[in-house]
Amino acid sequence: MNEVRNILVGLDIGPDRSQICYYDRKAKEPVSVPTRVGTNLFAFPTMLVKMSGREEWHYGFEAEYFAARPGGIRVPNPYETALGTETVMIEGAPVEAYLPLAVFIRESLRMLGVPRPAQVVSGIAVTSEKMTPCLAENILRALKHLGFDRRISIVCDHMESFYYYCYSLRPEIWSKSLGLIRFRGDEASFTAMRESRGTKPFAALTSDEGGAALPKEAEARDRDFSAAVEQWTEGSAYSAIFITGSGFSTEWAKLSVRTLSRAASHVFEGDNLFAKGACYALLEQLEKHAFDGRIFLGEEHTRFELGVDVIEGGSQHFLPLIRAGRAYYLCGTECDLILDGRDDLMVTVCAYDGSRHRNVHIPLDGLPERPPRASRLRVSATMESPDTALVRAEDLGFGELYAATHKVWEMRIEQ
Amino acid sequence: MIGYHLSRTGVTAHPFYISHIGIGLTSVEELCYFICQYPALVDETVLNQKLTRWLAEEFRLNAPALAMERGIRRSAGLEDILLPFMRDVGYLDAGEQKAFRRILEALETGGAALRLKMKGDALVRNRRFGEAAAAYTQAENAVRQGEEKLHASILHNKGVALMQLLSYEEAYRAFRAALALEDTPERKRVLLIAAGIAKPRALLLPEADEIGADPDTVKLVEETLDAAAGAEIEIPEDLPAALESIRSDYHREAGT
Repeated sequence: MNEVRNILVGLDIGPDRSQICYYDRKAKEPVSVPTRVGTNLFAFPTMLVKMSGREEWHYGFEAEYFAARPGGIRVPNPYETALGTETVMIEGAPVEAYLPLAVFIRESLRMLGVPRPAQVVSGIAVTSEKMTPCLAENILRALKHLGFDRRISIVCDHMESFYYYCYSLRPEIWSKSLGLIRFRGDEASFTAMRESRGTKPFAALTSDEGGAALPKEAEARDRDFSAAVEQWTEGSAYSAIFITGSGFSTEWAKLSVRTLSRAASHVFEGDNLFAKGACYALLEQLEKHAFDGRIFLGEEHTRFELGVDVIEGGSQHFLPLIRAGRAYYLCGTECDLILDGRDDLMVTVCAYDGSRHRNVHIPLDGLPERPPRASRLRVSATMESPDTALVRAEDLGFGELYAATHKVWEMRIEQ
Repeated sequence: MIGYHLSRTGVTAHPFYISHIGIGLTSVEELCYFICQYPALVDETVLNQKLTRWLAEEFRLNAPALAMERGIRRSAGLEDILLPFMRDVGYLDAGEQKAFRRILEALETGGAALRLKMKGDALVRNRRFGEAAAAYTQAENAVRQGEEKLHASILHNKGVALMQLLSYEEAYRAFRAALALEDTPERKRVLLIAAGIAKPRALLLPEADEIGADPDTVKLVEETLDAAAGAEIEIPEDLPAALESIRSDYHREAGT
């Protein structure tokens, strides 16, 4: 590995297989870490084994080996455990749902070959095919457990990784629509990503265009897949199509390759684009901020902004509490406001493109009367769904000068 | 500026203690509020290394703390210490800074008597009546020739503080001295109320005649005293606790 500090790490974690990559700053691109040096094997089993009676853990292929040996205890699948909140038993002791994942990540990071990763990693992103609020929460808890600050930890699903991957490449790759074909054995599905340029920022939106069950026989498989590609791509111009997953091979896809070449200017095949996309997400969100004119709006992403006009340093500015373009379960922040001549809370809501701007008035009934600038209000906003925000305000008084009532006001705001 | 001021520095679990008013401050906003509301209380018990260390350690305001410490070390005036600090932490806008500068200038140039009176007033607002009375006494001693009106005001406020301490005789003497310096209907009214409390009621009218109070003022005073005498106090359920609360409040307010 070429990096020894300030490392950006992308992890793609799945129920069966996981991958890790890092951003090579010299090459200016993410590099997948092979499971064995000198090979192109990047995926390793999502498996964790603990040696009985010892704090000795093994992951991936090592885990497969030690699971078969005396004393090797296979730990419940870290990914599947993290999908829920129930504790699991490891050697008779209950552990929280995020802990096996934390250990799995810790052990996987050994592949980077750096001691004390928490000290040299400046950003870590974990992606998974489907991200749920519970999984996201457990991933973040796992990362925190390993010493990674929340501010440098990113969680995203595969489509969002795909977005960051594609738009980090050269412009001719994303100049038109983008296609993602995912193979799962004999099943293939197609998702299109299109950029809506009628708004500012441009919105990248995905749509599932359908799937196909393919026969095993090569010629029939090729024919059916080719027909599916034609159907999926009909009526749209694609600058690039990406193929991932197991089940595709250029050995049988002779007709399909020609169809793909007609459908898109560029066709790529590979299994590590999501881990790399996660790396690109880190690069963009933590360092480059070059996507300012563009936003990803997945199904679970908020499409509106919510915030408060605040005074700071004598001038007024908008403080966003909810930002558009983030998975709703990852949205949420809080701030302290000092009230000056106000006994209510006015929140501003607008769509991601700045339209449908409106003010929402939250009365603070029962707030004690105090002089100006002698009331501290803790305001927080979270998303209950992609369309519904919950704004909460709590009276914290003003230190010992004016006692707090801790009265709480809440309001649900729909997009 | 009406609105919501964003607090970037939050609240600390380690308060900075203000001995004048016996409270701990837990945020930069509280400190700035205290400074703006009670500039006369901002003395060496507030502006010191403890404060600058608190600002640096609890809120990471290293640069403003260092600038404040430099000002303190070279015995700079309040204006030269407080205004840059307020600017650095963004507490006052340009207009507010101007207004606050005028207050600080008045404090610096107004003389010791005014400064001490303002200190007393600030202590009264915080119900520290014992310390307020002491500040007013110091203010009296610092009054210069030609400051009769100020002197009268100091004496009046001292009387108010003493009334709160239940020192009615002393309060009466303070009001009397205030009237001697500045004869106004209001001063007469206040003096007569104090007289009605400190002395037998039968002496009220002779007192009113002596100071030349008009009949309307006397009537108003009598009504005030009658209302106070007739007021019913609800006996609290937990009388021992209530008495203890009164006792500790008194000691805190008296500074004893």
